[in-house]
Amino acid sequence: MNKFQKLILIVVVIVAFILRIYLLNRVPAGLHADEASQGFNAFSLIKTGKDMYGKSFPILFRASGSYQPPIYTYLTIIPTIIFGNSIFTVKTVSALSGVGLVLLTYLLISRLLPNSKKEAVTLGLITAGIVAISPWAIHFSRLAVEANLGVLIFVAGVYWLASSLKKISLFPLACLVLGISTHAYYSERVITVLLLAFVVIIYRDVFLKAKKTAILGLGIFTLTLLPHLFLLATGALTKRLTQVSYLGTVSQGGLGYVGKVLEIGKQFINHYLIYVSPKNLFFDPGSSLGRTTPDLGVYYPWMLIPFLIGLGYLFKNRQNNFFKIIGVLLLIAPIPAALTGDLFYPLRTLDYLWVIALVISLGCWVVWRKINNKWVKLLVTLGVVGYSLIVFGISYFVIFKYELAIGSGEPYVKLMSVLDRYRGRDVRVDFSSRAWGVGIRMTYLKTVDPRFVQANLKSQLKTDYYSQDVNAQEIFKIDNITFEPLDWEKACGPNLILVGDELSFSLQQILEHKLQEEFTVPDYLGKPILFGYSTKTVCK
Amino acid sequence: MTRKKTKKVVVVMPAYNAARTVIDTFKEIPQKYREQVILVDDQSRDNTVAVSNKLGIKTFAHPNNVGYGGNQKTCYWEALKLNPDVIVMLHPDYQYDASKIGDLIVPILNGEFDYMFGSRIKNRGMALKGGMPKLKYYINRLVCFVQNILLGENFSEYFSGLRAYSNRLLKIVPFQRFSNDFVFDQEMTISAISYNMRIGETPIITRYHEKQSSIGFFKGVKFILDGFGTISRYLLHKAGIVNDKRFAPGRVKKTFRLKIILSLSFLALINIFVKPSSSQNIWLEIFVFSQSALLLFLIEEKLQNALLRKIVLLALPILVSIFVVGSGIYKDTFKVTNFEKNQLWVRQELYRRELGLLGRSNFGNKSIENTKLVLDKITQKITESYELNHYFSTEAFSFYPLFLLPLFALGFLFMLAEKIKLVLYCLGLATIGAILIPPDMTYWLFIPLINLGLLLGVKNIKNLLKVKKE
Repeated sequence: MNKFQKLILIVVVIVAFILRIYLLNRVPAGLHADEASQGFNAFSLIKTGKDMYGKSFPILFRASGSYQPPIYTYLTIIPTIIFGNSIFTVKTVSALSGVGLVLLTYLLISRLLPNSKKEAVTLGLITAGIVAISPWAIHFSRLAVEANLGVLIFVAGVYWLASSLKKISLFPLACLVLGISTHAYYSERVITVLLLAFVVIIYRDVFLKAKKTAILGLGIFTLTLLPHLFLLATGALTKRLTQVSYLGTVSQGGLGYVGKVLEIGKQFINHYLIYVSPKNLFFDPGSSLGRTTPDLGVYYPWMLIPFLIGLGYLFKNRQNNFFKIIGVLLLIAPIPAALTGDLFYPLRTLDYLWVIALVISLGCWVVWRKINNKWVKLLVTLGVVGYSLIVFGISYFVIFKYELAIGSGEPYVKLMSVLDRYRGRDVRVDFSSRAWGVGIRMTYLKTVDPRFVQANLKSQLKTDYYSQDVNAQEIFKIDNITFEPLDWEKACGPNLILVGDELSFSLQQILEHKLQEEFTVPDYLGKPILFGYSTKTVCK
Repeated sequence: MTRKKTKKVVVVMPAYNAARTVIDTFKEIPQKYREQVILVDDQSRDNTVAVSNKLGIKTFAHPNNVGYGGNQKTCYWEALKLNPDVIVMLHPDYQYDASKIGDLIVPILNGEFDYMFGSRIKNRGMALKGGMPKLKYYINRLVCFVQNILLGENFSEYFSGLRAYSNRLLKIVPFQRFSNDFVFDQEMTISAISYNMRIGETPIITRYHEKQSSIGFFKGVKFILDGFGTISRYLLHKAGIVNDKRFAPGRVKKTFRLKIILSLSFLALINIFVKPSSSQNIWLEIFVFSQSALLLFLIEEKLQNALLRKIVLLALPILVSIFVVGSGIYKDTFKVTNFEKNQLWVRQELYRRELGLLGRSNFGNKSIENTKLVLDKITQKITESYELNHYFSTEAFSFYPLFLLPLFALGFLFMLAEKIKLVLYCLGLATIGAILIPPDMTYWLFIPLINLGLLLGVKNIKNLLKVKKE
């Protein structure tokens, strides 16, 4: 690696860092309920060694009617100690994982590519660059999502796994890291097992020569999976899968068990196809803004061409060890996402998107090699990168924060300061499915004493901590504020402050209960979103 | 000088009703070449045989009329029996200047060429001055021009009746398989080309006169068409699609031809059966099949004939254009409605608010706004046509049943690995077409490529399992 290449790598990492850290606390606006849970659990662990339900160091965190893989929360402890409770804190681990992924991708390609050292470094830089500017990589690095950490740990595992084919002593380390990745996100639980199985079968000759190391590695991997076995028995492990998957709900079509299997097969292929469709990968923004950036797919449209070229190159060189592993990954990575019923959900398939980035980079590299003139190379690179960043900048930093603001509860963050004016009054905030996680969000940002929260939530646990049946919509209390579904039978009485969105209060209810408007909270565009009313009468 | 003594030259004259001209023709042959002259009479109605015998020419007479080509076959057959070094074919109608035979054969005797033309058309002045009718001249030029392009040669004419061949040429070129008709000469030339014979030309004087024989109009048309027919067969032979024994054996095996036929049948079958039932439209069928077939020709390794390739590369956009015109241009893609403008309004507000002056100048400009809207609509159309679910799924709108998907994926990967430029070219063509036509038609532009993917998938299953040693 010469000086110039080092400089390029530094520039790429800095660009990646800026794209992931810049305005992190403001864009996207607000804080998602899941993010708040992770943040508060970390905070609670620091203060009490227990999570918000009072469970000591859980191996799976119960939150929002489901469970969250633990590693992200545990790692969030560090930024929480440094920065305290804030929107920025809870996203730090994800943002740094995003930067780490760029660096790790460079290392993986430059060290493992079968070509000459010079070519490997060039491809490594291109791949790092592609990962640095890809919409999905930036998008999910700016959200506190476990999947983004998961992909970093998983890629580290892949790096050591591919290295172990040359140096078998690295195999136990690879197995350990891959095992750990299964505790970082759900998808890795499926992918790591499949990948290891493929690699061990395809390269059985390598592993048969070093049986002890192979067995040690697989043993370590199995050990790391043991907590999952325990969770499987409780039903907590598959809770998320049963929530999002079609496996339990498909019809048998009058054919009994066979019909069900056929239907699952059909559904699976249909859903698998959604993840390989060029439309979803390169063009269509998708309907849910929590998944992609407005008007952009997970990749820029121009990347379709290098993707096709890269796919051809990969297939042509499929006999090579490294490319074989990449090819296998490309096939198995969408499987976990294809088991879920959503139409296109990039979050569940970040490992796959990372592999796609490798393929795109291969295509870019093939084109790069064909351009002989260095000025043309520079011009093309600057043009493509410049175009991409402008398109992304407009989409993400201009439009996105407005369009996602309500979904991520931004008005509720503003509400906190408004409610400071009503300290002496009983405040009831409507907690419906439209305002998911409003309680935990405020609990986290207000740095409420974890012991108080633990006592409150523990009393509301209807089942064991680890269970298939997880009740959601717990009632949160912060001093004078209660977060609960509005019940007109109870939520009335003199001097109450009722807060909700426009669907919480109908005109009839306002007139009937003689509600008086106290305040409104606008969204980013200035349109009133939350309304606060004071009650005058006693219950009817 | 010694060479002339050792080398033997035989002049052959395929004759039909040539009694009036054979004497002049014979007398014009230089003395030293008159010793070995052969005349074959194709059942003339005049006394050609008697005149010929009188001149001391070695004469053979067909018991019945077999045609110009058949006549030449006997000429060469008999000439080869004399084991000559050079065989000169001379029409006995006194149209060609036989005194030039010496010039004609020297390059062959020197070993420079195997085949020499006496060209009447080295320049226009000479040909017309010699009495060649203008119509004949221009037809000759036009046909020659086209044939030169098709064969990749650069001759000044193909129809001359004065030619010389080396012994080697006549022993290699399978002239007995040629036609008995006038097209024999064309076959001789094209076959010689196929055997990589060296062909040269030397200018001769044209001499049109009343006694000469002349081909009639209909026979002339048939002759020209036969000529093009032979060239087509030759190109197909060269491309490996047909195996024509008149030409040098190709590198392509017979089994390959069978494979091509099987491939085309496969494409036809897919074309007929695999699609939504609502689209049984014969023109659509023809379009999809012909485009699939063209793609097959482009992609097959053994069909990499440069000319064919160029023809197909040109034919593809023409076919897509015809389809686009036939489907009608979808004007809505480029038209911006007030409703769409209103939809953009909120975003424009955001731009103005966030980007300040930049947002105002860029997004407030009407033409830029409209361009952005049109670009959005174009992207939308491209997006729709790149939706894999529309081609393969279990849904009713899907064009192919889901189980064919792995086959397509495999074939497409092979295409990407081997023919990436071609795939991009075809995808580009289809994409441009898809932007222009009504949304419900766009998928048909991609179907030929998918058909081909399926075909290559079937063909390459065994390649996938092949393991290369690293």
